[in-house]
Parts: sequence; C-alpha cells; structure tokens
Amino acid sequence: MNDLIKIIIDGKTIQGEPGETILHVANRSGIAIPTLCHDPRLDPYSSCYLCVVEVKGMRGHQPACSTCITEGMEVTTNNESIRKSRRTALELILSNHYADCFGPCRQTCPAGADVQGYISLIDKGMYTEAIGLIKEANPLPAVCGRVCVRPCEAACRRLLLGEPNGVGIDYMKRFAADQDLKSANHFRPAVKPSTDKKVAIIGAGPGGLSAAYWLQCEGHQTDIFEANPNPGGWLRYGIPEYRLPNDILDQEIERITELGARIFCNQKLGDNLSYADLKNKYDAVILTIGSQKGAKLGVEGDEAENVFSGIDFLRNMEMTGKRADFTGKTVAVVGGGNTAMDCCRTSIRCGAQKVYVIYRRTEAEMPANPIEIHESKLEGVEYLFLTNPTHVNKDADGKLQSVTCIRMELGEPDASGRRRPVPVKGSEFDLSVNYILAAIGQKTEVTFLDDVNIHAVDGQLKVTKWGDVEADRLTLQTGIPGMFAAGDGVTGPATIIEAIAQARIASHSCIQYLMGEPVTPIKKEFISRKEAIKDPEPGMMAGKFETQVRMEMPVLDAADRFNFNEVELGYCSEEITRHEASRCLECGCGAIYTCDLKKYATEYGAIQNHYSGGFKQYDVDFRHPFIEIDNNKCVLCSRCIRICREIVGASALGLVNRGFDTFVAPAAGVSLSDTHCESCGMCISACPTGAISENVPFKPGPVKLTAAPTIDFMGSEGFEVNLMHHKGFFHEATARNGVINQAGNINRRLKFGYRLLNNTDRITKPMLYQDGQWKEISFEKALNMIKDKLTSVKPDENALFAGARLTNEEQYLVQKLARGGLKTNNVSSFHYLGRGDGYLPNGDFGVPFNDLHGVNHFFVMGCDLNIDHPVVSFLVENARFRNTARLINITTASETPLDYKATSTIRVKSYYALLKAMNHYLLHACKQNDMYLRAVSLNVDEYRTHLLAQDYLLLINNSGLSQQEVESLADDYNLSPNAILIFSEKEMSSAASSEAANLAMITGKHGKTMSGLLPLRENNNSQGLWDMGIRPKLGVGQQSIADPEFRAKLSKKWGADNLPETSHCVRKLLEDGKITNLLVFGEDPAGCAIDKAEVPAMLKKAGFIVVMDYFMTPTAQLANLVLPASFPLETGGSFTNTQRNAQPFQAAMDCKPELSTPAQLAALCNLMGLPTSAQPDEIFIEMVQVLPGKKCHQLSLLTTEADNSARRFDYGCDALIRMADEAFKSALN
Amino acid sequence: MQNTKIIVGLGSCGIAAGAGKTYQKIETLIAEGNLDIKLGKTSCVGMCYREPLVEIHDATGVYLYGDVDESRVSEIIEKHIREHTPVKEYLVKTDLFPTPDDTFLKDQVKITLRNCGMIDPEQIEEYEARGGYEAVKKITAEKLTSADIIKTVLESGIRGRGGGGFPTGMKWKFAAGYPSPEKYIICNADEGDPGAFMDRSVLEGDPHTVLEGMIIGGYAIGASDGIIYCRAEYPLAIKRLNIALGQARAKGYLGIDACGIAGFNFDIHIKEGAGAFVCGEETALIASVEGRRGMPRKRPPFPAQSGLWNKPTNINNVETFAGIPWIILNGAEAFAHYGTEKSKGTKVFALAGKVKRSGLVEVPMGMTIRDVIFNLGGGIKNDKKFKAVQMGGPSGGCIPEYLADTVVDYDSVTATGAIMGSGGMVVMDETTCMVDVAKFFLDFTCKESCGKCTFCRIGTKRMLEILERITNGEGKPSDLDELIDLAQQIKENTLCGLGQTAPNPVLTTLRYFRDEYEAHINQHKCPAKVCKKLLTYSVNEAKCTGCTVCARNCPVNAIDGERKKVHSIRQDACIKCGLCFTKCKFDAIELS
Amino acid sequence: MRINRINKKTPTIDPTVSNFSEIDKLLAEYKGRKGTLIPILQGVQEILGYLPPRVFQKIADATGIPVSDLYGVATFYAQFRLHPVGKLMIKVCHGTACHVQNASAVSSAIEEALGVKDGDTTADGLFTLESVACLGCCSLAPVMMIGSETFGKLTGSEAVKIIKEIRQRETSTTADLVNNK
Repeated sequence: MNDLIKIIIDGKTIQGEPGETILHVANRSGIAIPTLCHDPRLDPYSSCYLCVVEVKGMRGHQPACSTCITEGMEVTTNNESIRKSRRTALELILSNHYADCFGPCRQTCPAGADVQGYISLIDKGMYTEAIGLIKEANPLPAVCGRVCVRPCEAACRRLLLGEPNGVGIDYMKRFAADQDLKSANHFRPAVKPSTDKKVAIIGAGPGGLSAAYWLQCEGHQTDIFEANPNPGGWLRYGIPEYRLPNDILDQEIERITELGARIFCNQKLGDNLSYADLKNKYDAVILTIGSQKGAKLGVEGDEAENVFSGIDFLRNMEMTGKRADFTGKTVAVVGGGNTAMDCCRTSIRCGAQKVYVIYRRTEAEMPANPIEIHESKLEGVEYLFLTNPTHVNKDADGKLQSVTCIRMELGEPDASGRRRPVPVKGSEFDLSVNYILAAIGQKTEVTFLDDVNIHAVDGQLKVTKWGDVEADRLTLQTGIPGMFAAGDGVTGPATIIEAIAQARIASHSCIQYLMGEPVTPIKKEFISRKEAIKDPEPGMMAGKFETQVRMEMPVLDAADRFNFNEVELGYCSEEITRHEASRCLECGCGAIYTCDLKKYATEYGAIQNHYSGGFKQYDVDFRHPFIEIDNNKCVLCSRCIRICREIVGASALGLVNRGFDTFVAPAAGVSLSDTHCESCGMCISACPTGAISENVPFKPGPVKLTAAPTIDFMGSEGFEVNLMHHKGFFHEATARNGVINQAGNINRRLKFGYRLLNNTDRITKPMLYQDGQWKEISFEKALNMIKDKLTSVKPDENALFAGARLTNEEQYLVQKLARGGLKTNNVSSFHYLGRGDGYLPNGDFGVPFNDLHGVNHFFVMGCDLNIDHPVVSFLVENARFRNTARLINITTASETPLDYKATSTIRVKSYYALLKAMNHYLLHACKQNDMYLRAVSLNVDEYRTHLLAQDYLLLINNSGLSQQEVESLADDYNLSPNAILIFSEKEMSSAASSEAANLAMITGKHGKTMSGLLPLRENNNSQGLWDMGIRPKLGVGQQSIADPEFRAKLSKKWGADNLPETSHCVRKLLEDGKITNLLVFGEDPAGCAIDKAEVPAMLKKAGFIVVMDYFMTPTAQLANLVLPASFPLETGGSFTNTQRNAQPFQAAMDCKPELSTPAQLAALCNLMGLPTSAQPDEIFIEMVQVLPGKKCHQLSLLTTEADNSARRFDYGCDALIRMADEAFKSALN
Repeated sequence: MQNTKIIVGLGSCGIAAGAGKTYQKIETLIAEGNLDIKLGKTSCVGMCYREPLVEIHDATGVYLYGDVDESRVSEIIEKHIREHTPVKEYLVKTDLFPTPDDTFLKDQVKITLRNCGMIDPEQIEEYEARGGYEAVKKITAEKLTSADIIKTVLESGIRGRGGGGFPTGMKWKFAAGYPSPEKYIICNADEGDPGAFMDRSVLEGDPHTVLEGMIIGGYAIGASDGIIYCRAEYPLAIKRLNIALGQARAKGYLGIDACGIAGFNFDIHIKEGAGAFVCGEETALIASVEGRRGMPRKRPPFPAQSGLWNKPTNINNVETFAGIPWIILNGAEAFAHYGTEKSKGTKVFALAGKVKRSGLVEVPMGMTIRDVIFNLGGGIKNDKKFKAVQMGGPSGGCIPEYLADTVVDYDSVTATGAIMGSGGMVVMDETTCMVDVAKFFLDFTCKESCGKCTFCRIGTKRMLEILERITNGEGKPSDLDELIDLAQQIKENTLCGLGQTAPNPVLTTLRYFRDEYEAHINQHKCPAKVCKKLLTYSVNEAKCTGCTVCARNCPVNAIDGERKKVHSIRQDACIKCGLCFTKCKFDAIELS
Repeated sequence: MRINRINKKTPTIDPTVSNFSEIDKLLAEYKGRKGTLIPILQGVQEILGYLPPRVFQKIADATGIPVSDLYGVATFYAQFRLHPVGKLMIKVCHGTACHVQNASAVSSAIEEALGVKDGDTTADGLFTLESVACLGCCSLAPVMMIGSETFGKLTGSEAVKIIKEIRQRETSTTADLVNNK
C-alpha cells in the first residue's frame, strides 16, 4: 500500500503515514513541539495543551499529539499566538504547582550554590565531589565554610519545623573543604585548553579570586593585581585570624593559582599600575576592588587620638603583623555588625581589660551573626544596647579620655523596616575608655578613575552617587566595553558570598566578551518556588519530618581564647557530619535535571505567579518502598496511570475526583504497595515532572548524572539500559531505546536493584581464609596459589563452574582454562546442574519480542511473567490492551502473581504430563500440522510411535486436569490464530521444555509469525553457558568435545596439546567427593540453594574452594580463597539474551578491583601456559574463530522419558539477583 | 355526565406543584360521589406556570383548568361536573371561548411536543391513536431503504437539537457509511444544562416518540442496539421509558425483526447517567456508557467511525429523535416549511426565570426572542424591566434587551455570542446582576470540568477567581483584560465543547454589560444590588421597632441600639453578611 | 542518610459494613456483562446508601474491574457518595432559573435552620443537605427536593417550614415505632 499523506508543516512538505499524528510527523522531521502528556509508548491523550499548533481551516489551536494528519493539511507549529498559548498553559499549571525546584537554601544563596546537592555528596563521604559541586558556584568553600553569613541557614525549612536551628550547612561545607584541602587527590576542575586571552583582575579579594577561578577554567589567563602585600583582600585584612586562619586562606588561594592564575601584589591601579599598561597587555579587565575605606565615628571629637575606624585597626594589625597591645585598657566598639564583632573579639585577644560594644538599637536588631554575639559574650564583651555616642572627650594632648553616650529608645519603623532609635532626652552619660573602634560602615574608594578614563578610548568608567563603580546591573559591564566590575566595589559593603556571586556574573560577561559574543545576562532558568504561591508559615513543616537537633560546632573553651587561634574547631568526625547531613529536609526536587515542565517553563519564559489563586496542597505519599507520589508536582498528564494500565497491566493508579480537585492516587487512599502495583517503576519513567519518583534509600541530591550504557544483567531479555551515576555512585537505572528495547522498558530488578552496585561491602582484593580469618592478599599471590593447587592434582580432580551472569568472554575463558590449561572437561554451571539437556534448543525457539504486539492468545505456563520477566510482560500486556488479547495462565501453584491479570487461570499438577498429554491428543487425533512438521523434523514417526505408546489416561491423570480440559486446552492453542506459549526455564523442567517445543512444532505454530513458543531463560547470559562451552560435553558453539576435529581446531588456536576427550558428570564427581579443587566463578550455590543443607555439604567435599564474586556470598564464606569479580559494566563484553541475540557492550565505569574478572582469568590461563588476552573484544574474536563453520542446527521432535525437574537453585544461582529479589521481598512485605 | 373524562397533568413539574394530591383528590371525589367519570393521566403540556393542570372533556368540549391544587378540586367538580358550569376564573384554555392564556399557545407549532399533555404517556395505544408508530409502519409499507430515510432527514434540514446544530441527516449518513455488525445509536438524554428541561418533558410526556425516532435512526444507520443515556435525576422519565420499552417490545416494535422488518434486530436499553455535565459531550458520554470517567477525547475519529466499544456510533439528542417520526410521516417539505433558510422546523424552549409564564414552548425557527418572551411568555414578572435572556446555558451567553429582536435560529443566535443550545431561555430583569450571572455559570463549568485539559481545569478556575474578586469589590481595572485574554485562550485550547464554550457567559456579559463590571470594579457597586459584599446595609428609621433581633444576630456586633429604640449599623464594622436583612421582620434593613 | 519523613497513615478500612448478601446478588446479576461499572455502583449505593471503602475491593474481586477504575468513577460522578448520608436528602436546586430567583437564600436559610453546611448531615442523621445543579423544574424556581418529593416557588422561610414539618413527621413515626416495641 502506498498511500502516504503529504502535509505542510511550517512551510515544509513532509510525508506521513495514515493514522500518524502531527506531533509524530513533526518530531520525525526534527520540528520540536513541546508536550508534557504525550508518551510515544501510549495512546494519544491530549491534556496538557502544550503541543498546540495551528491547522489551516480548523478553529482554535489543535493538540498536535492527537490530531491525525490528513492530505494537504497545513500546520504552523510556532507563532506568537501558539507561543502565548503554550506559555499560558505552563503558567496555569505552575499556578497550581506548589513545589520547589530547589530548596530555599539554594534559592537564597546569592551565588546559587547547590546546597542540597553537595550535602548529599557529603553524606556519601564524597567530599572531593562535593567541593567540585560547590566550586561551580563558589571557589572558596573553606573560606565560606568559616565566615559566610549563611542566608541559606536562615532560610532553612528546618526552622519551619519548629526547631531553633537550620541545617548546619556551613559546618558541613567546612568539613568537606578541609577534607579536600588535606586530600592528596584534592578537587581540580576541568580546565579548557588555553584561549590565549588574558584578563587583568584588580584586587585579590573574594571577588577577584573567584573571577580568576572561572576564567582559568575556561582557558583564559588571569593576572590579579593586588595593592596589599598579600592576596585575600577583606578575607585577610578584614577578618581576624581566629575566625579565618591565614593558612586556610593561603591554601584556598593556591587552589586557584595552581590553575594558572598569577597574583601580583603591591600593585595598585592608578598608583604604581596604570590602565595604559593593562589596556595593552590584556584583553579584558575585571575590577574587584572591594569597599574598604572605614567610616569615621562622625561625632564631635572623633579626630582624637586612639579613635580608629574598626577596619583600619584590623587591617593595620594584619599589615604590620603586630598585634595591638590593649593590656589593661578599656575599649569601646561602636556598631552592631560583623566588623564590630571582629573588633570587640580582637580587642579581647589583644588583652583589653574591658570591651564595650555600643549599639543604638537592641540585640534583636543587630545585623551581626548571632553566633558571633554569643561567642563575644562568652569571651567577656559587655554590650551597651540602645546607646549612642554623642561626643568624644579628649585631654589636652588630644588623646581620647572618654565618650559621652546617650540612651536611645525605639520609635516608629524606618525605611528598612526596623524601628528607628530616638534619643532619650537628658540621658547622657560618660564612659571612660582608652580606645574607640568605630565599626559603623565602609566606603568604596575609586582612586584610579582618572587614570582609567584618560587612557580609555571606547568608553568611560563612572562612579555612582554612592561612590561605587557603575556597572550594568545584569552583566556588570562598566562604561568601558572590555571592563567589568564585581563585588563590594559595585554594591557597596556587602557579604563575601555576594561578592562571589557578582564575580560569577562578571566573569560570565567577560568570557562572552573575550569570545566575541554579545554580552548578555546569564540565562535564568525557571525555578518553581513554593513561596511564589504561598508565604511560608512557622510550623508549616511540623508533622512531616521527625525533629533532630543540630550537631553544634565544637569551639575553643572561652578560657583558651586569649590568642588568635581558630575558635571554631570544625566537625571532628564523618559520623557527626553525616548526622548533620541527615537533617537536610531534601526540599529540592529530584527531577530538576529531567523535568520537562521546568525545561519548557524556561524555554517559554513562564512566570509562576502570573496567575494566582487557589491551589492544591498534598502530602507526599512515600508509603511504597520504591515509589513516591507527590501530587503537588503533578500536571495530570495521566502518563503514570496510562502506562500502568496500557503496558504494565496493573492499573494500580487512577484519577480521583474531577476538575480542579483531580489527583493521581491508588484507590480509596490505600498505599500503592497495597494495590496490584508490580513495583516496576514504569510510572516513574513516564512522569514528565517529579510527581512520581523513585523513593531512594540514599540522600537523593539531586546531582547531575552521567549515563553508563549497558545491557540488563539481571534478566534474560537483554534490554538496553543506562545506569545513571554521579562520579561512580549510582542514582538511577533508566531504559535506553535500542534494538531489543524498542519500547524503552526496564526490568524491575535493575530499575531498583542497581542500588546493589553502591554497596560498600564489595570485595576489591583477593581474600585468603587463614587461621580462622580473612586476609587480603595480592593478586599475584592468589593466582599463583590457585595455579599450584590446580596443578598438584590429577586434571579431573579439578572442577570449574561459571555463572549465567558472566559475559560470554568470561565464560569462554573459564572453559578455556579448564580444557586447555587443566586438561579437564570438568566445566559446568550450577545454574543448569543436573537438569538435563532439554533446554538446549530454547534459544532458537523464541518468538521475536517485536512480534508480541500482534499476538492474540497468550498461554503462559509455569512462569510468573510479571515478576521474573517484566519486560516481556509489558509487551504482552500492551498487546492485550491494544488487541484485547487473552492470557491463559497455566500453573502448578495455588496462587501466582499473574492470577489477577489472567483472563483465566488453569491449575495443573504437572506441566510435563500436561504437555505430553496435549501432544498425545493432537497426534492421536491427527490434529498436527503435518505439512510443517514433516518439513522441519525427520523423526516425526519415531516420536509419534513412542508417544502414542504411553498411557494417555495416566498422563491425563498426572496433569491434574480432566481429559476434556486437556483436550480443549490443546485445541485452544492449536486452533487460535496468533497464539503463543510462554514458559520460563525457572519453573519448567527441561523435559517439559522439550515437550513444549514439540507442541509448537506439532501445531505448526513455530512456523508462523506472531505465534509459537517463547521460552524464557533465567539469567542475562544463561544462553552463553550453552554457547560458550560451559558443559562437560559441549564446547564453544555447542560443538561436541568428543569430536576430534573440533579438538584439533582448539588445540591449534590455543597452542595447547592433549585436550581432554572424555567428559564426566561433574555433579556426580562433586557428590562423590572426587573433586579436590573447586573453582566457582560468579555463582552462589550455597546462598541460592533450595535445600540449604545439602548444597554446602556437597561443596565442602572439595579440598580447596575458590570463589569469585562481588560480595562475601554464602558460597564465598565456604571458600578458602575469594577473588573479587568485576561488574560487566566495568569491563565490557557481551551477553546473549534468551532469544540468542549476542549483544556487545563497552566498559562504562572504572574497574574497582585492580584486576578485572577477564584479567584474572586471562592471567590464570597465562600461568597455565595458554597465551590469552584479557581484552573482551580480543577474546570475542578468538571465540568466533573456533565457532563451527556453519550453523548445522536441525529442528527435531525431542523424545522424553520422564519428568526431570531437578532445579536446585533459586535466582539462577546468582548472588546479585538473590540480593535484589530478597530486597524486594523484605521491602514489600 | 357520560363520556366525561378528567385528565390530570402528572409531569415532574406538575407533581412538584401538587398534581399528585390533586389527582388523588379527584379520585376520591369520583369514588365517593360514584361518578361516571373516567380519570386519566397525561404529562406536561408546557404551561408549567399554571400547574397543576386538569383537563375536563365532556360533551360540550374540552376545558383546561390551571392552578388546580387540592383545595380547588371540589369546587371545580362541583361546579363543572355537577352544575355544568365551567369555572371561568381557573380556566386556562378551551376552544369555546377565549382566555387570557390563549396567547401562550397561539403562536406555537407543536411537532416535537405534539403529544405532550395530550396522551397518557404510559399507554402505547394512546400514542398509536395519535399516529404513533405510523412512521415505522410507513417504512415497511413503502419499503423505504436506509438511503431513503437519510435523504428525507437531510432534506428536512433538521439540525441537532442538543446544541451543536450539526445536520442530523449528515450524521446518519456518516454512521451508515461505516459497516459493522455491531453499531450503536444513542439517545443523549443527559440534559445537564441548568435551566433546561425540554428533554425531561418529552421523555415524561411522550416517550414512544423518542423510541420511534431511535428505531428509525437505528434502521437508517444499520444499528444493532440503541441506548438511552438518561440522567438519574429524572426518575419519572426513566420509569416511563421503561414502561414504554416494555410495551414497544410486546408490540414487536423492538426485538428480533423489529417493526416487522426482516433482519432488523434492534432493541433499546437505558443507561442511567451518574451526574456529570461533561457527559453531554459525545466522547465523554461514550466513556460513561462504557463505565469510565466521563472524560472526552480528541475527535477524529468521530463516534460515527469509532464510538461505543470502538464501534460505529451515532448520538442524537432527545428532541431530535422526537421530531423524526413526524418528518418521516409528513415528509421533509412539511418540516422544512417552518423555519429560516438554514434552520428548519421548530424548536422547543424552556422558558424560565423572571418571566410571567414559565414553561415549555415550541415555536417555528425564526420567531424573535422578544415574541417568545412577551407574546408567549407574557412579559416580565412583576412588570420589571427586561434586561437580558440567557440562552444555551453554561455554553451560551446573555442576549441583551436591545438584541431581543434577534430571531431564533442557529446562526442568528450564534452571532450574538450566545448559542441556541438545547433550548434553555432564562429571562433576567433589572434585579439580575450580570457579573453574578457570569460567575454563576463559570462556577458551574468549573465544577463540571472533567479536569483533563489544563485550560479548562485551571483556566476556568482562575477566571472564576477573578469574577469572585470583582463581585467582592476587590477587582482591578486590569481584571477585565485578563478575563478576556484567558477566555480567548480557553476557547482556543481545550478538547471538548464544555471547555471551548465555558467562557461564553463571561464574554457575552462583558460585551453587553461591561458597564456593570466596571461599576463593580471602579465604584465598588453592584447596580442590580445582588453582590452582597458591595451592598450597604442600613436601618430604615421609620420601620425599625427596636426589637433588637438584628443586633443579636449580627456576628460582628456591628449593630448598635437599645430595646425599643431605632438601631443603627456601623458601616466600618459591617461584614455584609446580610443576616440582619434576612432576620428583620419589619423590612427595616435596607440595601443600597 | 535520608531524612526521616513521617508517613501518612493508611486509612483503616471501615469495618462496620458486613452484610454484603444483597450486593452479592447484584454482582451476580451483572456478571460477565460489559459496561456495568456505573450500574453496579449505582446499585450498591442504592442498597447501602453510600459507597464504603471496603465495597470497592469486593466489586473489583467479583468483576475484575481494577479498583482504581471503580474509585476513579465513584469520585468523578456527582451521584456517588463515599460517606454515609442522612435518611433524607435535601437537594436544593441551584440551576440558572433558581439562581436568579435567589436559591442561595433558600440554601442559607436551611443551613442556618439545620446547623449544617452544604454536603453535611444533621446530627440526628435525618437530613443531608446538598446543592445540585438542576432538578429540571425551572418553571417553579426556586426548587428543592426532599427524598422524592419536590417543592417549588420557595423562599427561605417556606423551605425551613417544610423541613420542620417533615422532621416532626419523621420523629413522631420513629417515636411510634419505639413505643410499639
């Protein structure tokens, strides 16, 4: 059929297929149309109205996601009216989006530091990573960790919980910064290649240093010119050492100079440095001059000797290196800010006998940090509140004698909102003092104005009426295009963190300028804030979190403070820091990096409170152990509900109420865990915002994540996935659309089980059990020990086991080591131990996953499909939703997880008997598809004769069904078009598996598309065990080891003679105690055994056991030597899925153990004289070269004698799957 | 006395007005007096304003009495039956001499309502006696094909009476064009417009005509099943429909080879709606019939292609179906004879509000609104000033007095910004605040929004909040632009009719009564004295007796005064709750 | 470590409703038919007067309809009630015709007289007050419906008078019943 439809989108003619939507066609053609409610996996819905477009001839706007194309349709996707509608849609949604993108800490931080993000890293002990994150916004964490004014802590919602203190953000930051400073591997930012651009920075204060940091990161050379003898500016000359030790400052500065920034001291612009030079030598200039001129006391007599401005006093000491000597003197400090605190506390340290702080308002109005006030009182400072100096009295020599003060009272509020102090008439009194330190304000000093303006050609530098440098508010560009300004010099006296924030803006503008781009403000991203909808109220967080007191900062004893030693000692342990980290309420949203609402709100410039009015407020529902629902963030796109219905088939979620009151929830207020929820997390994948998210067990961050692409290693479907991590800590597993995973689904084991990869109990070194305890030993020692053991016995006294989770390459090496190195065919896997060969052809039978959508009748036998093979289950359920297909659940269990979904459930006693009876019936009644059968199988008559000789009624009886039921089931499968039988090796014996294959051939279903058989193997690489030769009798490519030709090929390839011909039943050898050396690679027979006593006893018959695994599994506990295994995603390699698709993948992470699994195996091979590469791709090539020349697989009916269900292990004998499934079980019960 | 028959109107409104008791009383009197009188029932004839209605047929003619509550029964029986003297003061209509109420019926043309109030709706024979089921018989007799019927319906020009105004014949043609063994025809009887009750009256008064219309439609499109989706709030309609269905099945009009047409296996079932206005929208209605939340989806595919259970489905309104048998029987031309160029036939209106004669009227398309209200409706109650008429319910708009000469047809009404809708006509006088009316409708749509589309779910709420601000005296001048802007965007960006038309009441009132909005915003006044927060309550000193009731009831103690002395209200403290006004027994509290 | 959040409690399922035999009959009647969700809920509400939480799981088990669908439908349509109601529903019509003829005065008079708000039930369990969109008796506006009886052309005080009469009638019949025992 060739009836393509032509439409015109934005003037472009595009072809599409009938039934396609505008959105689909546009996306295919690279025309982006925003949408929140559309999910390509689901039927169109149209609720968000973001995807609106104009269609010529149609009234109003049309939702592109559900408007199907018609011939000649003319579509406009982007014009003013459409943009306006989209913006309005977003603004309407946001007006009822009572949620935070960032916590108030990040919102209030002038520099926008990702507080919650770095707390989450500190919580994980990832201090260097935390410092990296902080330095994106603030290059001076060790400094700020000590002296920041912390607006973040004042805004902390802990306070709304009724606690007196917010989270100790600075304490944690300081801890992390100090750890990083101490660390040999301290944080170093990524630095871009040099641009050969040079920038002069005037002033080495916090602003200048910060600007240098960011410019250096971008590859620009910065030279900082500092007027003082040492860099640091206010940090050095304004803040006393007992608060900020110089060595800390020096170290932090060094972190910037090590990036290439140069600092030239004693260079003052307009003095010994001229703009004329700068202009010639540099491409741009940033002025970070600070605001450090002290204000005079401003009362009569303030010119008296011993009356200083506070900051001159502080600077002088630093400059001269001499402490003032106030021994026995009385000092009055005037003012209530942090400088006043520095002055009074320094005065105490300089030996003053008495120190007063004179402040005209009360303590409540003091701008100084309350901690400082508290500490100063401890140190003996006396406060004179509501007091103001009116006159300085001096003696004849002009020396200060006393100060006259007047009492004040608070009147009406002034412009700042604080009550204005007014003098109380007649309340004057004199205070005898020796020194007055006036800490009542600072001014900016621009001494270089003329020098600059004389030499400037394309503009003029100006100052504001306050005397500060004039610069554009948003770009901080001055009147001279290549000159930028930041910090106190622009704003007047402010805080360090504000100076840093400004430096960020200025360096951003400067970088644009240097790169020849137009200088524009930093693009503002949309930030949703609860405060935009409702003002916070005290106590509003109460009842939502448990209260937890702040871990206070240890300080020097007050008696020990008469020196300049640092008073605050810093958190003394990781435990305390982590305890404080756990107080963080995690206000910010976990979806900020993925949220579509935020993305579009930014793109369309939406304003959250454009429309204001009633809004909905919901409690976050996190009763489910893996999934949490935050309806505050919900946009009612129903994707979660629809995916749960259309793909998962669980219908656990629904809409409740209607209109504005609608929200998403399981029915009747129950927890999601009390519904049919399958904990698959598909709802999370569907949510365009953070309304449904993963209930993570760790501090969520959020942090920016990197994808480690790999193949599912916890299921046999082989779906492509991304493991999302930040610096090696995994935060999330998401589906990756690929060849197999076209629908973008994910196995729940991986969706939530990825967390096991973060397990800190991982083994990374070989461990030897000696003298009753485990000891780390070197790889060299371990491998040599193994070699010695293996070679000290007869070849067949060794047995090697390889797990179904190993990569093909690893499995290949295991059997190569056995056959080529040890000359034994004792190579097997517990996974299939003693279960017969009936599973062998399963890999060739599977109906391709992509065909499942067309199946109408699913017969699921012996398989908890939705639990063990969720990804197949999703395809089945979607087919059922689309085609209203039937699902017949056939089980021996009295209850299965699939019961509730099945169209009908048939309970049987034996799958084997049932299948055999069905085959018997079909052949006996001549209902087989003879034409197909005879075409594919040579042994039809032989099989038929054998089967029909069996006692039919006994089979019926053993099946647990009546004759009529068996026959109608057989007819049903035989006669229903597009019928498929799905079963799992986990539950069905290999004999039953063979009979199922026979059934598919007898009915001819196997020969048709969208029907037949879908056998499901258990583990990610169960198939590999068959293909890589992990069977005593079979070598690579299922070639018989007894075949001399094959052995000759191997000998040649491996350079090894005398490959063993005979093979034994390894199970029997093991049980008979004939195995001395047992090597188990990636299996956990002891932990996964169904009979917990029998298996360890069997294992222990071996004299020397080596186990290679990730963790100290029960099997590893039995071992003499344990080797650390690498994760497949650390090495790369390939898995072969249940449908026999071999899928290579690359290493995506660094390998934690020094030697990876393939490297250890290759090393052992080499020790045994088999030259072997450790590179997965090279191993793969070698493996391919020993494969049989052509595929000689002939289908045939498999005659079975009796049922042989001998499954001895759960979880496919894999510790990782066991841990994942056990975690599910314990969490969900 | 022989051949005398008394018929009582027992529609919902009649019963609400006491007709049930009237019926019982007559029954008692007949039994007690051993009178040879047949007592019968009928439904609403449309004169709701004179309910309960009692019709007496005797040898001299037919007499319709109005306002016959229980207390008047004896008098009428006594005078009319025993003394053969009609009681002129209660007489509403008779062919023998004129009555003041004649004008109510004079200009009406009854096609849809031809049997309402004329027959006992629970007796199929009475329907048949008036030509009922003749149309289906005509199909068999004349061997009319599906195409013949669709042609007739097309030519009649009848358009959907549910409000959309889509040509019914076209709809049938589409539905007929999708062959399927399963196909549905649905009668939308989920009359949710506040202020409309045409469908209820038809269903209660003449259920068979709806069934017959559906049978014809079902035959025309090739349906296998018919469904009547009826509001659960109409128990009487449901009861009578069930009776009618039983009778129609018994007579072979429904079932295997329905109406004797071989192979036409067609039956009709009732689905009770559960209360959601949005289910008037076709796709939402289908979702509801399927047992889902009534949330609309995007069309196409139209129900004609993929409707109920994804099968071809045709949906028409009660009134549309009720007109079909007449059209088939009398021909397309007879129907098209009435009406205007693009709007053919007649239309039923539910006349309510501040009008003297409220009730149901059926008029030919093309009559002016003024004629409907003044000639038929008798003008405004208490002879107050006519201000506006609201048409089309929450999707419609308010047509001001100066446009009252607009004729009723789809296009003319739409041109005013209102819509024809299903036929609700709520008359408003000078005491109606138009901002309040807009707020009322928006409150309704807001509550009835299914919540799917962003603009409808949140946008209407934001509009409502602005209107609430305005009626509370907190409006800003910019609010009006904001309202218009939001309204326009909501109209353009929603999925279904509910959302697309939700802003209409605001837009039309803003268009015609902007001054009223401005008075609320700028002068903080409600000219119609409706918006409580904008009123000033004061004590009329002449009327106040000093009983202290107001002062005792004032929740904020804003009323001062001693017992037996004139009280006064402190305006700064008054919260305008209106309690004093309702409590005062002497009308001494005044509003301004 | 994550912050310790305080979880909201899972509501305890109402244990009082135990007699489901009539419901079983109803469910049996609808068994195997499609599109029966709303009629089933209507039927159950008819029997129990409202839809208690427990009933949803029961219907789901019997019909295979997901409980989320049942609950979604029950909370979507105005007809369904999730809480017990009084013996008699007082439905005050707030249709357009009633609104312009001061239905709000009727509502507030009743609210005051009964001491309940819209949607609430009187302490004696006799009345539940409810505003409804339109009763379709616009010509008699303003209108209210008590039980299955409709009253038109009301004022606030008339409405209250009617309610008082009904209350008297109801309480005396109850008293009679008690006395007769």
